[in-house]
Amino acid sequence: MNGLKEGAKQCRYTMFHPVNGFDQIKWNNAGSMLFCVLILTAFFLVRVFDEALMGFIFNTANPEEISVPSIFLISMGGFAICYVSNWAVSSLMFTEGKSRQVFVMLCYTLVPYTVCDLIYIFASNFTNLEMKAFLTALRVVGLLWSGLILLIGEYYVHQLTAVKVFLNLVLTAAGIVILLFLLLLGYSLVQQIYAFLYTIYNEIAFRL
Amino acid sequence: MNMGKKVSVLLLWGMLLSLLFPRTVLASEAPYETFTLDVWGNAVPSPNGYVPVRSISGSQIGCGDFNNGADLFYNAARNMIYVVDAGNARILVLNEEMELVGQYDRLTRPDGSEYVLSNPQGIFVQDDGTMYIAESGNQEVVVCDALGKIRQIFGSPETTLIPVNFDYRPSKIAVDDRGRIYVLSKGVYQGMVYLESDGSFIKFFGARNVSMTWKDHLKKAWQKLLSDEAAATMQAFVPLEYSNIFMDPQGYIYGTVIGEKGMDLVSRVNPVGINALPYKVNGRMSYIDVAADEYGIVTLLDTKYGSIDQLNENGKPLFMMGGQGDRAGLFRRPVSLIQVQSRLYVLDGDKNTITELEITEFGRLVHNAVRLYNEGLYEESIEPWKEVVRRNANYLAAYIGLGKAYYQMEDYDTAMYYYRLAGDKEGYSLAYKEASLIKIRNAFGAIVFCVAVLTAAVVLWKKYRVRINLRKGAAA
Repeated sequence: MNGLKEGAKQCRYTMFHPVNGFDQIKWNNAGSMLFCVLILTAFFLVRVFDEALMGFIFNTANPEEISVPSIFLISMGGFAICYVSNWAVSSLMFTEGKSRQVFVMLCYTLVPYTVCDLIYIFASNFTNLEMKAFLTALRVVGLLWSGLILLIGEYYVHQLTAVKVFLNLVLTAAGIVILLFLLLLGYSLVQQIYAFLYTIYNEIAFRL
Repeated sequence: MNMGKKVSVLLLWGMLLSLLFPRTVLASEAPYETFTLDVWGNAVPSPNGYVPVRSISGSQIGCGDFNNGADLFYNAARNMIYVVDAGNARILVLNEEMELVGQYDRLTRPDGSEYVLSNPQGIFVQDDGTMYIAESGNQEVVVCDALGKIRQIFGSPETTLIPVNFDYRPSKIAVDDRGRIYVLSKGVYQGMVYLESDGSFIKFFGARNVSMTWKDHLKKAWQKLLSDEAAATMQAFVPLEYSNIFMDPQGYIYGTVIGEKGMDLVSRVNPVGINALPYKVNGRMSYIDVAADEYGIVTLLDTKYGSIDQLNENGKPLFMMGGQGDRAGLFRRPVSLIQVQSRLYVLDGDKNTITELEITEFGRLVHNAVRLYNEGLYEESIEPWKEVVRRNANYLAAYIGLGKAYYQMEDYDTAMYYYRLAGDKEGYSLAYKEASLIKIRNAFGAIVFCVAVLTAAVVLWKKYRVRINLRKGAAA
């Protein structure tokens, strides 16, 4: 419990002092894994709220098509792929980021976006279309803040030069594409094997 | 006798009895299902707005079968229906009861000689009986009076914008109050040919934008890579041609095109050439004709699916009906549609019949509500809309109508309720704004009071704290 409280404190500090905050993560092993899992949970919940609790004027989701499992798969699966890709690419680039530090860094990246989105969803219930620009601005601020946290985090956690940070990010994006391709390949393979086994089962069943 | 036997004997008797009393065709029966769209654009079933009453062939009205009919026109002042029977090269005039009252296959030139129609494709008739005939075969527009005496003949418009050897094939025509003429010609994609009443060319009217899909953009990019000669062989990117034009009682020009998702398939063109009728479709539609009444109710005819789509003035679907088939009310190749009061007439070019559709009670209810709202009678339109909703809870147009009516009556909370059901975010936002303004205004006194109390409390607290500090200081 104490670790959780410390983690929250460290996270809040990092949001406003990213350089010092990530330095602590890098060298003092600061940050709590438990709190990071909490961030991920909050991120997933906000993705659900985005469709379920968004004010009527701003809600574009068809209530009949909201699917919590698919939101979970997209948000958590997406995060997992990003994490694996970044970690793998960083290992290939011989950077100094450890898997725990990469995880904490990526979780922290989600914080500004998630918080701004939460405010957005709350405010959208008390806003009319004329004030949409303010809400959009809020969202943009959240995204930019998240981007900044990501850049500084990459810089300190992996101990890279500025150019290599961008290279790392580009390669991470490429890695994500490759991972998705492999997943798709695996999925279709499983499907074909299933179809094959099912056909065999059918053939046997018909002959019994 | 066991139960099963009893039931089967009863059934048998029922069948026999039903033979004695042949089933009468109910007016509410139609060979199609009627649909409207829900918030998400899905088709949802609705009670019929129109049902087919009869289908009329040429021999039934005593003039021999139609052949490849091309156009229908209704003049309300004369109360006459004009049928352009292109294959037989004649114009038929029918009265409201669909009885033949006149027929033109030969006209008289001013010098007394005969003018033979060859392939008329479109007609417009003014209130005094002056007929404007788009003669596609003779490549001209013929203006004649009700007796068939030709007043004027307009050939290919003289303008540098049309090449001299252009194959001018007038197909559809409309004329405004001042006698200025709008002509559609095959192969003219610049818009409608807009002529002065003496036949001189004014301009192209209602020119459409080139609508590009992403495939077209790819094609264009590819075209840039090719040599000029190769690129010239590819299809040029030109706007879609109008498939039909219509002039409504207020003088607005409607144009239809055959096209797909993302395009304005029907436009109510204002004098500047801007479309004022927002209506989007999901798939590819082949709209071939349009009719509109003085309340802005627009009826569209699709020639490929044989469907009839009726919209209100804001492009919200009221009824979508019809289909492909041989039964009365279904169509093979419908080409033209007119609205005569509560009835619709559809001319089928393959079946060579005119199908009459009569409005149902439900349709009348909807039209009544639309009309009341259009006349600004918002309060009066509430009851009809509620009756519509009672019969079809999926009717979006009714919820929008109710939302607007309550908004105009300044009952914003009710307006929000109906706008929400209708999925109308703009309307909801406006009503919400007004409602919240009222709430703030009502609570203004309380807010001021709270602020005052809080300020007083803070001031007092600071003073009190200062005193404590002083005492502490004194004690120390």
